[in-house]
Amino acid sequence: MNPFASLQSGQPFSRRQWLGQGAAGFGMLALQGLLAAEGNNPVLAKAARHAPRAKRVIFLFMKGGPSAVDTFDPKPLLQRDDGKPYPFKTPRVTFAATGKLLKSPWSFKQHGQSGLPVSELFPEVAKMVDELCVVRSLHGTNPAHGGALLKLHTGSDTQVRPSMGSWVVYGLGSENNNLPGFITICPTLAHGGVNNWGAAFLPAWTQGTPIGNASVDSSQAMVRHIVNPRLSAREQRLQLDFLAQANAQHLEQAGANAALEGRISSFELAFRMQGTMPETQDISRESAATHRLYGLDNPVTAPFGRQCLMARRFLERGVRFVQVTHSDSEVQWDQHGNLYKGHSKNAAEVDKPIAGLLRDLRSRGLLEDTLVLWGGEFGRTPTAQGKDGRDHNPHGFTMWMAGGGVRPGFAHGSTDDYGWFAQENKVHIHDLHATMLHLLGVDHERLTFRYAGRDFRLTDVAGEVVKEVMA
Amino acid sequence: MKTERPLPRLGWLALLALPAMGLRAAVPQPQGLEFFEKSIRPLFEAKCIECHNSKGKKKGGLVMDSRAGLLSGGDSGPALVAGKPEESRIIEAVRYQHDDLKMPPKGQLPKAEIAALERWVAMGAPDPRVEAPAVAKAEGGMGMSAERGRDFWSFKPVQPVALPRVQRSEWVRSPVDAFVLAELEAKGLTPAPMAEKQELIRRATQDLTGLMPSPEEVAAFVADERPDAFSRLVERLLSSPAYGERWGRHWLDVARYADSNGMDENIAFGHAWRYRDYVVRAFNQDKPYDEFVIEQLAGDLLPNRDEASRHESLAALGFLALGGRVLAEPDVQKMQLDIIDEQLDTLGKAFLGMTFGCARCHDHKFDPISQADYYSMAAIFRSTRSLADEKMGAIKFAFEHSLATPEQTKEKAQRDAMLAAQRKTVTEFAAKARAELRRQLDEGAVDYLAAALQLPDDPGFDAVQALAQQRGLRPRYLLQCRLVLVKQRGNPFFVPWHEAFKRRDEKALRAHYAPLFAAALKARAVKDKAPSLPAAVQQAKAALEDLAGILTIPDKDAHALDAPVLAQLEAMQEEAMRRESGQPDLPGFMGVAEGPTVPKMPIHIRGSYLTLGREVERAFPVVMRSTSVPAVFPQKQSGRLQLARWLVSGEHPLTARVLANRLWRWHFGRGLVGSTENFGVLGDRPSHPQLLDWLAMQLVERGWSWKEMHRLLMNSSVYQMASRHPAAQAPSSATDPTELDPENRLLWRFPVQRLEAEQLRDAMLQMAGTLSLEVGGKTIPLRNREFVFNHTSRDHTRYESPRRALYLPIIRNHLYDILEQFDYPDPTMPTGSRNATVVAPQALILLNAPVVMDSAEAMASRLMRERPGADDRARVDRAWQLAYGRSPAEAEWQRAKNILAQGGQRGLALLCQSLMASNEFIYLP
Repeated sequence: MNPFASLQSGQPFSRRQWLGQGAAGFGMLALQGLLAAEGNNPVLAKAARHAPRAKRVIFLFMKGGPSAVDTFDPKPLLQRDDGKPYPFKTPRVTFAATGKLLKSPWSFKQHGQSGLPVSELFPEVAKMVDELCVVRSLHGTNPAHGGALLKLHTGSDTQVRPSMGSWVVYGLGSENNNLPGFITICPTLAHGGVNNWGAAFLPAWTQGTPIGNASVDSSQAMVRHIVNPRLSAREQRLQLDFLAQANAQHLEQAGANAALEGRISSFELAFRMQGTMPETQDISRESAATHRLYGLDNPVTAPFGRQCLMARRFLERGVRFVQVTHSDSEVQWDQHGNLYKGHSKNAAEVDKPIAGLLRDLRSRGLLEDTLVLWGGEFGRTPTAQGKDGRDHNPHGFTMWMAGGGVRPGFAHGSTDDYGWFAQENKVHIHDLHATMLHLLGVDHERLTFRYAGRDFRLTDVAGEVVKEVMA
Repeated sequence: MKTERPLPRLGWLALLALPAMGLRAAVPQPQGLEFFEKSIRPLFEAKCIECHNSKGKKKGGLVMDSRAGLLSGGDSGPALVAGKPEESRIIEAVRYQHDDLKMPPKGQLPKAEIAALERWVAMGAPDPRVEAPAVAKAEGGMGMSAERGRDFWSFKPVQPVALPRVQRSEWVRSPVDAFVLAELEAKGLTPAPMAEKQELIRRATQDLTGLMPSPEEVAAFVADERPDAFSRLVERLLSSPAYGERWGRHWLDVARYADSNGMDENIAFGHAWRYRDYVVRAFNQDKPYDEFVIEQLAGDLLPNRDEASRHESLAALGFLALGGRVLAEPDVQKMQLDIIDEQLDTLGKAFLGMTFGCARCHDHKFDPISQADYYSMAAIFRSTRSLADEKMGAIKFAFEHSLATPEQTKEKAQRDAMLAAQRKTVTEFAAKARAELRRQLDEGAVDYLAAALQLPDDPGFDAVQALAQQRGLRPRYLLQCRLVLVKQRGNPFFVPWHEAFKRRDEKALRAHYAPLFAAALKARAVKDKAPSLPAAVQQAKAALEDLAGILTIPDKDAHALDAPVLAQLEAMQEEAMRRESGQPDLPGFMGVAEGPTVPKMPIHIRGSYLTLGREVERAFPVVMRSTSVPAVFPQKQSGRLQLARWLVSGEHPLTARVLANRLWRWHFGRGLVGSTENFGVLGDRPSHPQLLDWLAMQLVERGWSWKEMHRLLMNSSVYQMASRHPAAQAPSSATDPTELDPENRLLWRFPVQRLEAEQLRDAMLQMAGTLSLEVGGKTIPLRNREFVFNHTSRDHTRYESPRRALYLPIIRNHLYDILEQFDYPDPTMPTGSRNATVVAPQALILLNAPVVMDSAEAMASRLMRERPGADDRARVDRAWQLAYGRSPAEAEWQRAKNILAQGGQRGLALLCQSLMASNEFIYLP
């Protein structure tokens, strides 16, 4: 039985048991430091198998499924054969019915030294294309949003499993004692909701801490219960002092008990976090130039720009895994119809902030050891749904990576001539997870957790590291 | 959707028969061998062997580094049939004919290589690599055979146990004590002394009812000097309706109870509460566990008694329907199998401590459960209906037994029509508001451009606001307009603006733009085709329609609309939502029903219905059968009733052992077997095996009565021990129990237990005097099958309720914070043993959450109210009685005064909140 799950209160523990058990919680307290001091971090010793190329991850999640053939995967034959039937076999299971091939309404141009093609939807990101490693052969989520989000975030679309951020934090811990190791900014509560950042059976401190959600504007997004609108800091300090004394007296009577001891420090930690968290979120401390870089001066780009800038502040302060979700109160990129209008609007909202984030990370020297991941839960069909829409396509879609030891200015894998199925150098979602962990210095087959009689992995029983995308 | 060519059902017989055939044909011709060496071996080496070899990876159970390996094949059958390319899996795979079998997986082979493989197979697959594969197929072996499994502790029959002999026989009040004491004495340990009476009543009251004893109850118990005072207390608690709420809640953990689906689509389970209330009633009535099990699995198949008992059994079926399911799964066949898997896994863990889910794709890797066992039971659920006919788009629903009368159905249709009309009014209002806004902005476009002349490139919002007010414009749009003018400096349409800006020439500006905008709007009104317009008018039109333009209306209403309109819209939305949520549901039960009987089911290789193996009949797992005669299942029923009866029949020992262990866990904080849901090889071994068997025996002998077992366990010395031990960590002591048994597995003291989430929340409301003790009823504020949140991510669930925490909505995927942070279990998994972690967010809740602040303030005002003439000292004394069941010591009173110095009721509330956050309050002695 693992030490995390077996804890019951009332047992005396060693300090390490207590720490490992999750007293550190939220900020993981000084788990890293203390265990390192003891010369033995069981998790790290098990997980890290080689020198990491990346220390942290930021996942820019485009909810709803951006279309690959309209963004990063140009298909000349699709342009040529507009209106003709798709000539190959279609998938056994599809979400909705689609008709004939639909050419992309956007044109592609080659950009940068690498000459990678980007459509006119992303003019700003195109300027940064030499930093991108575009993977065009993703596959293997699920044809519906909920299943696909769960598959992408947790590796499983059938059962509740820990999210990838939780696995990363479980394997590597956090570098900041007063902040959570895994933060998700304005996540969607639909389609798997909390399960997409949940810890499932992993220790509770590995769960993602949400800041707001998709229905909250990023300027209003807050961690729950981080401020007390009714009491002054002085009054809270009085309460904490009272608690410290009362709990110390109780501990003396109850006898040594790690849970009781842990609880005493958890209040001090919580009090410190009440200061750190809002300070980190406060982007007003950034210069006007930085605000412009992220598009905060434009109402269209400001909401997502604010999320990206907040994310950078978290990354800078040692948060291990940050997810930034682009989701409105609809399904954002889910253009079953109105492809032109919808994708134009969506791209306009994120293009500038993403490019700004990449530039900012680069100029601060953070890009080299920060893995940036961009993409949705699936792509969209090359065939038309209605006149001007595309259906879900989990069989071949594009995500891109940047920084963190990936090969810049490079495109990996391909889809068929029309962009429906991944064809060459296919990268399954499990492969993506394996590769992400590899870049972090973690062997995906060794990062396991014993639960209900089985050793679980993020990659289940699959996953191959995609060596070709490494710098 | 196209239908696929069904895969050949090769099955196990084929797997066994083929290698021999293959070897007979293995007399390779030299020419063929040359072809192999030249064209096939390099291909295998480059593209296949890395994942299919006898020394390392054997994906799909296939090894390709020998001829025999190819012929015997992998999980889905032989990889090739020599001489017959069209019947060979390897050819099918490289041709990418089959969605689920495309090899190599990373990309199709060049045409020439596929042709070479076809030719080679047609030649009879000549191959010099004749040695047999070193290792059998990966999925071939069960972790443990049924034979050996019968010798594993948990499958062995329960044996009658004699009470062990002990030295300190005066300590033995209940036979339970003898088992515990014998182990302690064997280690040279002594049990802790008896607990104080204040401690005992807190412990027992929380244990049986989940509530705090009132100060009056504490005082009465302390004063009761009769020898059977504690037994009387236990009886009083067992007869309280709160007993069923507390112990029913334990069972709801096992039944992974929730009021919403969670998973991919979060749909409200508007009838789940009927199952919850059934469970509470079952405990309060002390329904024997065997009946309880049968009703939950087969309540619909029980002989008809009266209407009330029929309803009761239908309510019980919620057990099979409450699971979290992926509801929008487009692959319906997969979905059905996933549901069956969830049901089997849940019943395995809940009743048998078995992880059946592991045997869906292959034989269990550790336990004596084969894939055949799995599909024998799966066939029972394949014959059961779990999905309703109704759908909502791609979303399917759980089956329900409706109790609605035709009149109720008709009324509902009328109400639905009314609600739809109301929703339409709201959407129309929003659309109209946006259209009006669009019109005003379009017509005022030139005014915005003109006003923007007065603002610098990066204006402060105050300046914008002042200017906007002066000119009757909207500040938000004026700011946006000004910023976009900078951003689109290169846009030729705005060049004149920038010219005018240099001279602040408003007049010239208006003269230039007003006619262009007017023409653009006119063109739009008559739907003129763009090409016929002059370039500048086209530009004006584009500027107005730009999705990131000067006057674009944002998508979010909160950003787009004027405050009064927005407030009106939100009020309308709220009202529509409220009315919708407040609609009564048609009465019904979530459950299952009989479907067409499927007496046999094929084994699904790797769990996929696309790769089917041999068929198996409905049956119980081999390792749990006491006779070789297979059970008989009715031809016209699913077999759920037979399964349920078998579970409690005593034919195997697991049901009784698992339940005895649960009882122990819920009383003592840790199971005799720590892993309450896993009695398999990877689970824990029992700390007191004889005690466990003795309890299992008692359970059956006492007619599966829960209350009898509580009496047995609680009227013991081990239950009434103190949680402190005089020798623990005492330097002088000879045997320090913390050295010998640091985890207290042998129970030398009573384990300190943290309040569970619901106990904590209810205790705060009890102290505040605001807790309602009303029992049962619908409490989720949503209609059946309503979205908890759809795409909007707006959470409409409310948790401000005076009801016990048992009745708060359990929203999968978005649990109430107190529940989530204080270790409420994952409501998609059966859980018999909650964690008691310590994490900082718990502290944040107790410091800042409104429910805590409200309770503390209510408690303070209660203290003022109840003790009007009293002084601080008396009120503090009462607060201590309420929180801890004792008076404060002098030092504590001094500390309390520090906080009270903040003054009056506010100071008192600060103190009350501190008590609620303290360890003594949260940990039971």
